[in-house]
Parts: sequence; structure tokens; C-alpha cells
Amino acid sequence: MLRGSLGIGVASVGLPLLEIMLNDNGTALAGGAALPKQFIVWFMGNGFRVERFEPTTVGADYSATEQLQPFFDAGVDPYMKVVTGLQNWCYKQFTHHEGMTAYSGYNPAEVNAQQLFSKSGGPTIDQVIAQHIQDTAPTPPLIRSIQAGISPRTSSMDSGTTMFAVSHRSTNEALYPEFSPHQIWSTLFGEFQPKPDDSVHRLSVVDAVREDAKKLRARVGKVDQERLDAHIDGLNALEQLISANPPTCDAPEDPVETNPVGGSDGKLVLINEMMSQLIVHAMKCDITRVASIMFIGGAANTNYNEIGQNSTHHMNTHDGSSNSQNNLVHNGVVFAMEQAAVLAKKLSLEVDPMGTSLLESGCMLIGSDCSVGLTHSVARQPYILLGNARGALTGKYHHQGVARSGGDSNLAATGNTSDVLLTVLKAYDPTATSVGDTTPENLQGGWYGTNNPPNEMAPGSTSIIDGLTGPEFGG
Amino acid sequence: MAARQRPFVSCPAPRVSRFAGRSFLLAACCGVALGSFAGCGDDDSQSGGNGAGAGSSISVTPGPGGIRRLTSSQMSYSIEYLLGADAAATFDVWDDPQLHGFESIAAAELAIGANDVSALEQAVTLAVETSLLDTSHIAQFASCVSAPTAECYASVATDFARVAWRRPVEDDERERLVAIATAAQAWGSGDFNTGLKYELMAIFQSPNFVYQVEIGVGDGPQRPLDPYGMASRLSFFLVHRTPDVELLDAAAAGELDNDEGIRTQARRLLATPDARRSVDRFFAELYLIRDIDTLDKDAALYPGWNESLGKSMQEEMLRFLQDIVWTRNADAHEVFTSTNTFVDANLAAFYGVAPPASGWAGAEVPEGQGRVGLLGKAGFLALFSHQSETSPTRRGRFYREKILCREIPAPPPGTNQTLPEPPEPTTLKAKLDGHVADEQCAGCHALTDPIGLAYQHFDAVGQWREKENGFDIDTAGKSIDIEFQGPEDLASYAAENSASCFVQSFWRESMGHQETEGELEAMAALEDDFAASGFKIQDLMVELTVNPGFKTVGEPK
Repeated sequence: MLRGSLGIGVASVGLPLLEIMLNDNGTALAGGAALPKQFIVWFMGNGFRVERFEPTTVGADYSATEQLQPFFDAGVDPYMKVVTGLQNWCYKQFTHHEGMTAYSGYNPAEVNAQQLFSKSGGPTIDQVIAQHIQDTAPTPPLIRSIQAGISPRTSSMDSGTTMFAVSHRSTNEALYPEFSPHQIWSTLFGEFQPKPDDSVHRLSVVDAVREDAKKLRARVGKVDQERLDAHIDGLNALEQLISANPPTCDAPEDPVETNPVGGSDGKLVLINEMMSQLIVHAMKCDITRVASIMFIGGAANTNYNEIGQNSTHHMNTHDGSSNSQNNLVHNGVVFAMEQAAVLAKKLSLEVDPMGTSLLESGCMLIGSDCSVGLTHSVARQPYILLGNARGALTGKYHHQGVARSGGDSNLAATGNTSDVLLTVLKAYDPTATSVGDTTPENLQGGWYGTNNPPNEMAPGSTSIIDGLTGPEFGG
Repeated sequence: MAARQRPFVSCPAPRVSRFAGRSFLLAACCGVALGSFAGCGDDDSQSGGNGAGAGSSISVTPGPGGIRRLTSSQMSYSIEYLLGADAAATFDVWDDPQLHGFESIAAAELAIGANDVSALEQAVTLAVETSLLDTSHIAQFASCVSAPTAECYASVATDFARVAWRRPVEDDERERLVAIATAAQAWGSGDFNTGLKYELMAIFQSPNFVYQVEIGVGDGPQRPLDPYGMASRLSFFLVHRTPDVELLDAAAAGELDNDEGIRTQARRLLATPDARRSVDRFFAELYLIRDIDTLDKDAALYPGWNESLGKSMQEEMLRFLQDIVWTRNADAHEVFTSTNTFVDANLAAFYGVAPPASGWAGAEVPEGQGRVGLLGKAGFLALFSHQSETSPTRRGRFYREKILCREIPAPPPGTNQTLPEPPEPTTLKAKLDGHVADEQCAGCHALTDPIGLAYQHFDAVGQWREKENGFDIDTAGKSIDIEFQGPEDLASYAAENSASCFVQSFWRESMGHQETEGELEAMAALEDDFAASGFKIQDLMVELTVNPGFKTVGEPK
């Protein structure tokens, strides 16, 4: 049967938050449902210079460090939580890959260290939050999540999916970043450009394709059934998109830029600006609430030409000379933090009618794949959390697992980086009780970057960090 | 053409061990040695000449059955075949990831996400709209579109979708397509092409187009592909697109039920231009040739480097391989030992040889530089270098992993990879000696660095240099099991030891998975076939298609 005869209605579409939609206090939607929250993971590969990144004091009154200064300059430090001194308990360690556990709480899967190969062991935090939003929001956003990349010069040495995507829905569903601002625009806003309304016929096509997928699904094994389920999920999302009314907010102009490999050299600032603008606009219009940005990948072949460098940042991190570490690496980290601050500032300036900015209603998780690129260490792997998630997270704060006792080569750590993930997850889903794989692994014989590791430890977490929570946490 | 080639070492070895040693036993010994499979001719009586082609005596437990998504290039080439070049030119869907070095493996394992489904709809819509500007190409498959009648939508479903879906269209599927087209035609004020647009959109977005279905017939661990599954596997491997009408007709007529029928079709497909493009694409992916024109080099040190030169280097490597595979159907050892090449004006100046009168022409590489075979090409040398200096580690890793198919262990966790800076400028070899001497580093670097250092006469863009920082360059070395005086010895070693790696690479590419233990005997038999052919790549590809591992699948994954 065809769509035209079914009388399918159009889906509700996200709108910018308007005063009329809120209850009297402006604390919830008029129907009582929770107000929308946004979440962004912002990733840059190859770590930090810990000794020039970590604040020297803990608590709410910490001061800027050289590598955090860009956020102070952008005026977003009142929203900035810094987490240091924790241990990432990934037990399969073979350069860079293990650091990505800090975004999922899972050990990587299908590891082949000889090939520098792995896949994500499970869904990443952004996708867990995206799923929660889709499952619970009265009016879920049209685009479940968006994945952008700034530098398309990814690693030429690694393989698998772990190092090439920040976002994963499952082991076999990596959500690769899109490096073309034009394509990001097309995904977020292309559907809403003026054109003849052929939605009934496109939906009939979607129906037929879905029917074919279901028929095929009945013939294949379990792994392929899961792949086809993901395909069918995509068809359902496309159906939603086609059915939606256009948003009432204006779409931005198509940036046209496609950012091909080789064409991006010297344009990281421009591409970052474009991507940041598109994502902020889409979140303002509630077209999507979840995004990830891969500024540069781990072990990527990106060269920070724009600050006068002529060797890749990754290569610089593996040059232990003081010139490389103190100048090239440090300057590269500062440059990356400046680009993250561009997005943070845009989020802080986008204010709804109640005066709430996207940095107050959402949260941005910033991090890397190691603490120190020189050794790929995942001890003291730090995070920055920018934003309050509507009061679920606190404002300015520095949480430190254990005080730093030396330079980048002395990385004592304690606690669990996945505690940060669970704290963030509970800021969006108060019912969450764990994140990642919480089954302890036997650590004997491994290398964990911290002194006296326990006999066994899980990469996931069932604990939160109280200091990061805000007054609305758990509500 | 002059080829510097040494005869293959002849040493009997158990058939399976050639692959088993590399793929399954390597980790514990850090990729060392494994000389037992080094270019060994195999006198195993099972093969009997074209052993695998004989088929039935080869034991195989094939890789798992299931579905494989078409790669974006397979989709694009199929759209080109079905809708025309203009339509294909607009089809821009996504960049394929690789797993284990192959897009085809990623396509067999990874799911497509929600935004991918949306991107596919956009790309298909644009391609279909473009094709409708001139329907003569579509008419090659459904002639009625030139003068459509009421039955034409059904004809498109029967004849056109059959090629796109690589099998006969079932009645309910045809009815659904016709209903979509008819409703859209009515909405479009009776315009036939409006209905055709949505019918084609449904055909190309369907999983029947998007996935190769390789489930096999019957139960058990070894299931023959059905004739249409066989036609698809054959076509996507050899010409990287949907099967043509002749191949589908052959499948329908049972001609793919026997090896000679398969060989006939394989040879026919290999004679088409599409096969050349397909093999170009294969080598460009396997040897990373496609990345050369995007390399970023230090402009101060290498002012002559630009995208145009990079493209010339790409083209040189592909022409070099085309000459061996197609023009001369030559022994694959020449990939490593030949001293001929192809140059345009760009490269002639770069190499210091006479420029062609126009375009491209064959040339001999400069003598005395050790610039032999693929590994002497500037593109390879530039590709496995950093922006401002060479990378012996990367060059050596490529040699081990891509030419010999031997794995390199990963650096131990926490390793400080810093090279101690010598007090005075010296050679990279002097610096890297520290890596090879350090016990913690040696596990990997002894396997790679000495090999890469043999190419130190070629700088980070592949340009010849007499000295490095004013110092003499010593190209001799020993990398565990390989001893050499310079690049020419390494080229000979590569030639002598690469046959199984060619087999492995084509195996993975064509079937979309890493070989399983149950496939090793079939792979060894294929290597025998390769040897029996005189190491002809074309014959390797044909014999692969009649190998039991190719014709069957295991239980669905």
C-alpha cells in the first residue's frame, strides 16, 4: 500500500525554545517534560603536556594554566570543570587505541596489536546519551546525532574503527566524522530547503526499502541482522526527517566548502569555525542535540601549518627533545584548545528567550586519547567539561584524583576516568547506574601507568564524582 | 625493458605452513623469519598443475556467509553501468573506511548509520535525476523507456532491477516498484519520467542493490554460492560493478556451475576496460598509491613538491603496474625488479631523464641509484616519509606488511619513542641504531628500520641524493632474516618472497574477510596455480574465481 492512501501525518519538528512552551517557572516544558539538553564530545588526538595543562589547585577557585587559558580568554571559565589525575583502566594497551576507552568505558574489541587494529568495545558516551534522548524526549530531535571532523588527515598507521571515529553506536557501527562542512550542512539543513513536496513518494520508497531490508534480514545470521537493524533504524530516521515540517528558525547558508584531504592544509581555523557555527545553529533549532567533533585524530598526520609548524603534531609529540615538547607540542595543544574555545564561546552566546545559553543547557566534553603523547600514557588522562546541563553539573571546578608529583614522565594516577562518564551520563539520564563494561578484568602482567595497580579492575564505572554535580543532578 | 630478476628459491614446504606461519603463529615471534614460505615452489601432488582449479581435492572451510555492503566505488561503478557516466559523476555518497587494509572488509563487517542512509538517499536522488535528462542509457536495459507504454514500469522492474539487484525480481517486489512509479506518475501530471524517478530511487536504495548476498545453498560449513551469488562475487571482484546482462544470463543458464564456465566469464570480464580500472583501484588501495597527491611536504626543504607532482607519481606507479599486468601480462616479480618506468615532463625532470615528446612515455630509471621496481618509485619513497625527513621505519613497515604480508608487533605500552639527539648532525642511520640496539624497541624496529635505511639515498620526496647531511650513506644492513647490500637486494628478496602476499591480498579483497585457518590450504593451492602460470596476475585472478574458497561460503555470520 502506498503512502498517499495511509494518511501518514507529519512528524513534529524541533523548534527553538520559545517562552510560550515553558511552565510558569521556566524550569520545564509546559506539559511537565524536562527541557532539552545538548551534549558535545570534542576530541583532539595525541594528548597534552600535563605539567602545563593541570591547574595547581583543586576546587572552584583554580586558576588558568597555559593550556586552559583559551577558555578563560573566551569567557567560558565559569562553566569549566577540569578533571585530572584519574586512571583510564583499559587493559589492552597498544598506543592511542586504549585512550578511546575514556569515551566509552569499554576495552577495545577485536584487538590486533600487530596491525594497530581495534574496534570500539561498545557505544560511546555521546551515543548512550543520544539514545536516551531518542527514547525519552517528548519531541526528539530530527537528527539523532551529528559527527563532524576538522582535519581529514587521519592516521596512516592505525587500522580498525577506534582511531577513526569518536562516536560508536556499537562495535560494528562506527559513526565516522564528516569532514565536509557542505555535507554537514546538507545533513542538518538540506531537508528543509524549498523544493516540491514529494514527501509522499519518498516515504513510499522508504517503505519499500524497509520491506526489502526486513525480507533480507530473515535470511541472514545474527551479526548481519544487527547490521540490517542499524540500516532499518536509519530508514526510520529518514522517514522522520522527510515527514517533518521545516523548523521555524532560519537555516544558515550552505558553506559550500568540502574540505578534501590535501585541500585542508592551513584551513583548520576556517573549517572549525564553519563546523562550530553549523552545530550551534542546529542545536539552537533543536534539529540535533548530540554531536561529536574530531579536531584531529589520534596519531593523525595533521600539521598545524597555521601556527607555523612544518611537521605533524603527532610526530612532534614523539620527539622528546625539549624544543619539541616545550614549543611544538605545547603550542599545538594551545592551538587546539583555542579552537575548542571557539565552539564553547558560540554555545555561550546562543541564548533562548529565558536567557539560558546552550552552555547552560548543555555540556561539552573535551579530551584526548592519552594524557601525554610522548608515551601514549592513559594515566592522568584529563577531561574538560564545559557547561552545566541545566544545573545537573556544577560550574567552575577542578577535580583531581591524586596530586601531580612530577612532570610528564611521572604520571601517578588513581580513581577511574569512567567515573566522569557516568557523572555526565546521569546529568542527562538520572536513572543510569553504570557506564561501559563493569566486569573486572585481571590486570596482572599488564601495564597500567600507575603505581601499584589493583589485581583487577573494570574499564567501566558505577561511581560518580560528587564534585562535578550541580543542584539539579539526579533530578 | 630491462628486468633485474633473480630466480625464485625452490624449496619444498608444506602447503599450509606458508600462510599459517604468517597469519596465525606470528605474534609470539614478532614477525621474525618465517623463511619456510619464502617463495617456495610446492611439489605437493594435490595441486597437479592448476591445482585449485581442479577444485574438488582441495580442502576448504570457507569464510562466513552473509551480506557485504557494496563499497561506494562499487556503487558508483554500478550506477555508471546502469545510469551512465553523467549520473555516476554526481554520485557522492561517503568515503569508505578500511578494515585490515581493505574497504571490502569494512564493507563486510560494519553497519551503515542513520546519517549514511540519508546520504545515500541524497546521492541516489541526484544520480537518478541526472540520468533522466537522457534516458538512452537506461534504455539499454529497459528499451521501453524510449517510448513508454503502460507496462513499462513493470519492464523496468523486471529487466533493469534484475541487473541492479543481480538476480530475477520477485513478483511482490515488482508490484511494489510499479505501484511507487504509478503513484508518482499521477502526482507528476502523468509524466512517465516522474514515475520512473521514484522507481529508480527505490531500486538503488534497496538493500537488494546495497548488499551483496552471499548466503550459499544448503547447510553446513561449506555452502556453494548460488549462480547469481557467484555472478555477483565474480563481477564485483573483477570489474568492481554489478554483473552485466551476459553474466547474469550465463548464471541463469547454469554456465557458472562448472570451472570452465567460470573461467570463460572471468576472462571475458578481464578483457574489458572496467577490469583495468578495477585493478588500478585495487593497487591504489593496497599500496596506498591514492594518497600520494595529498601528501604535505615541507615547502622550504622541498619547494618543487606540489599536488601536480604527486599526481604524476601516482600515475607513474599505476602505469608501471598496468604495463606488467595488462600490456605485457608479465611475471609479477617485475613489480619489484623491473627498471623501467613511465614519465611525463614533471617526472622526467624529477628523475633527470629525457622528457617524452608529449604526455607519457616509457623510460629507464637512472642507473646506479638502486631505483628498482615499485619500491624505487618516487611515489613510494615520498609516501613513506615525513614532511621534512624520510621515515625508514615506515618504509620498512610497508615492505614487511604490504609486500611480504608479515606483521610487525606494536610498541610496548609506555614506550618513550624519542630518539636520542646526537650532539652533531649525522645520518638518520646513526640515530636509529639506538632503536635497533634498545631491547625494548628492537622487537619492532629491527624488523623495519634496517630495511628502510637501505633507501636513504632517496629523500622525503623520493629525490636521489648522494649524501645525507654531508655524510656518506650506508645502504647495507640486516633485518633479522634479511641481509642486503642495498635496495636491489631488497627488491630481489621481495620478488622471491611476495607470491603468497599477492595471493593473500587478492583473497582478502575479493572475499571481504581476512583468511581463516580453514582457507589456508585453498590459498596455498592458489599460490601453486599462480606459480604454474608464471606468476601472471591475470591468471591469479582467474584461478582465484574457481578456487573452492571463492565458490563457497561458510555458515552465516
